Amino acid sequence: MADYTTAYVRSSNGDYAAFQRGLGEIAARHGISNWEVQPITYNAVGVGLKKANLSEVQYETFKRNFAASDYSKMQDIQEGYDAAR
Amino acid sequence: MREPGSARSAAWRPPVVFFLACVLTTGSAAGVASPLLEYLYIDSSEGTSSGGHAAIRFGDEIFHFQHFEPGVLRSVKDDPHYFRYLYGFLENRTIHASRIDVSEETWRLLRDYFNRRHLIQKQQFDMLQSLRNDGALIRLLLRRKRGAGGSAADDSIQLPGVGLFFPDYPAPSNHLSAEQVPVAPPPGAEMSAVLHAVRKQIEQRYGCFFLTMRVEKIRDRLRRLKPTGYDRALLDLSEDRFSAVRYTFAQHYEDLMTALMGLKALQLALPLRAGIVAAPRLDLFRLRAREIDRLARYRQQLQNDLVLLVNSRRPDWGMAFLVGMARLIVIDRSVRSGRLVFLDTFQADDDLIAAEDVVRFDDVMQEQLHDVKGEFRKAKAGLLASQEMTEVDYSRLEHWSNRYLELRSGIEQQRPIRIHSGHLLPTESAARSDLIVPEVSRYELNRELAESESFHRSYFETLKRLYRYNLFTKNCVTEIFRTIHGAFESHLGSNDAAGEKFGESAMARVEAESVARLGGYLGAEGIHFIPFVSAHTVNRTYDVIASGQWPSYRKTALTRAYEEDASVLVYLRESNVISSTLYRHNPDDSFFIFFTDDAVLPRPLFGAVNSVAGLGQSIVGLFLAPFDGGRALRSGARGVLFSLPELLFFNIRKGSYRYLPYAWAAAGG
Repeated sequence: MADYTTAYVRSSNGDYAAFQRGLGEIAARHGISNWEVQPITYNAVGVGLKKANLSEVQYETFKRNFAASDYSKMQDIQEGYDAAR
Repeated sequence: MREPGSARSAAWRPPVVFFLACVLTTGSAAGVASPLLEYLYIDSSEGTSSGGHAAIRFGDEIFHFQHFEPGVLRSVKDDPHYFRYLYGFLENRTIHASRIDVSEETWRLLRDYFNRRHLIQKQQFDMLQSLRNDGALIRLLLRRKRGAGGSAADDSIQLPGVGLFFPDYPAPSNHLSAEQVPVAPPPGAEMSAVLHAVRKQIEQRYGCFFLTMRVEKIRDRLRRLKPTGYDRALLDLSEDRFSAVRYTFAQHYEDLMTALMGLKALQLALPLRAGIVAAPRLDLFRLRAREIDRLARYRQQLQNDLVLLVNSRRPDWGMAFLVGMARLIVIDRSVRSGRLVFLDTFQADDDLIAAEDVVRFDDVMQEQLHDVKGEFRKAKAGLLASQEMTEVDYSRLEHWSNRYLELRSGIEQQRPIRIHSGHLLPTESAARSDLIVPEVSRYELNRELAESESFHRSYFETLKRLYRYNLFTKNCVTEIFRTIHGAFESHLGSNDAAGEKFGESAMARVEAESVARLGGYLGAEGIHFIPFVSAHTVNRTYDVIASGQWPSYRKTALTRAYEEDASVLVYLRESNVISSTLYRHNPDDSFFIFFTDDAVLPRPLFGAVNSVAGLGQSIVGLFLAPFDGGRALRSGARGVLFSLPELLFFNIRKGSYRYLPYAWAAAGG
């Protein structure tokens, strides 16, 4: 999921719906259907955002949108972001 | 020198992956700490790998390139245990590893670039499949508009997860354009009390008209849905640049139809379909009070999650909703009965281990059963953990419950055993023809079909050109070095302006970078496109600090046998296929008598016997050809072909294995 997220944010003009669908396919390969409530999803997205080298503003915008402004989910993204090298 | 391609993989890989111990990870490199970089050379074997194979290992990931139909070279990423199991055990080939000294920064640079190329290629081939699906859907819709019928398969689409509640619904000729989403439960079916409770909770949260409005909204979106056309920029494909991902027409249609069926299942509080629930009476599946308590808490959590999911913005929420509802029903049954009840996660098109193989490989099956039972117990013990259960935990329990029950039942009843690659999610699909046909005109559909087919052809040709396999210039070895150089070039492109200032060519700068980071440079010249040669070249050129081997299965087992028995006895017994205890005839192998991989001096003599035996088998095969379709003839001819190199001390054939317990490779990999 981390690498997939990096790929998505680096490609220009990608469909957000297609990105979410791709996340669903990756999660399904690990036996997970409802990835939206799994903290591990948000951790992985955070790792991917870090690797994509986004600007601070771009990162914060993506984080807020992806987590639908949910504080706990944004925290999980931040944890992944901070842990990534 | 061609690597195992898709044609062989199709018949051969499924039994392999049956033994895989799946772990739930995100596949992120973030957790990889050790900068282990190894160049791997895999011994040659008969068939398509007579020149050997090559791969590169980054810690717990191995990247390699395989030949697939239609003549393209594709990147493959494997787990080291799986890789060893596949090549070292089942194919019985020794793997030679050369560890290269690199900094953590170089390791990460290379690993990320290999992974990036892998993901880009996957995205491109996924897109190709999506284009095919678009064409198929447009053709189906056109048939509906014309009132023409096709075959049941052509006139319906597979909706994932829908098969948990609905049966297949093939096209009835008199209802070609009907909008037939069922409005009543199947005759005799009882309403599911659990789904009824979910429905009530949803109505309490969002209002009593929410579900009706959600259904109407989806129907409306389906009616207004149109093919979106294709951006020609997508044809500008590159090996190291991601294309923008597209939400295609067929994906959109499938998602909406699946969501619609999910809502229908909820509105009608449908029961699960018969045959997809497992409720074993074995003691192992009995639940203790604390386990029941934890499952009951998870049941409540899952119900709450479903209430949120029904209002989700993710496009494919319908499939997740169907899976969640089905799991909720079986968890409820588990809690009420005190025994683990779970969904059958195997798919209709899963491969099978034939009943005769189940009997013939009984010892292997028993050993595998022992391992799977251990994994099942570990997953069940997770029910006693202190923290709250998540879908990851439940999925693991469901996964091992299925594998254990399938294997045990197959062995006991001596029936075929279903096998499946990777982790299993209960997404039983149903082929449905009661589709909502969008209000797009026949003229528009015809136009879109022409564009779709034309775009698909162009995309397919572009992909073939980009990844075309070539024995000498684009094979499993050349792609590894090209990718390494690509990583350096990409890195220099973004960081090194100084080189250009002094007029150095890009190739010279990549060469200098390779020398600085790996200790040397391997260009396109020379004959190191041959895997065997490449291993030696890597050892001479790069900073190789250690070399080692992952011995083949037979070599590993022979070593053990020599420790336990008299050497002469073991040698005589294991030198040939007739008395060997470590090898059982594999119909995929060519015909031979003597093993020559561990016999160097007598190899020409053994080779001569093998050649004569192969010739004899070929002659017999000639007479048998009308009865066995030429199988014995082919086996004999291949036997001769792969025995001839043995006359010159060269070994290719080692004998391969159909089934071996995965844990053996996992323990030694």
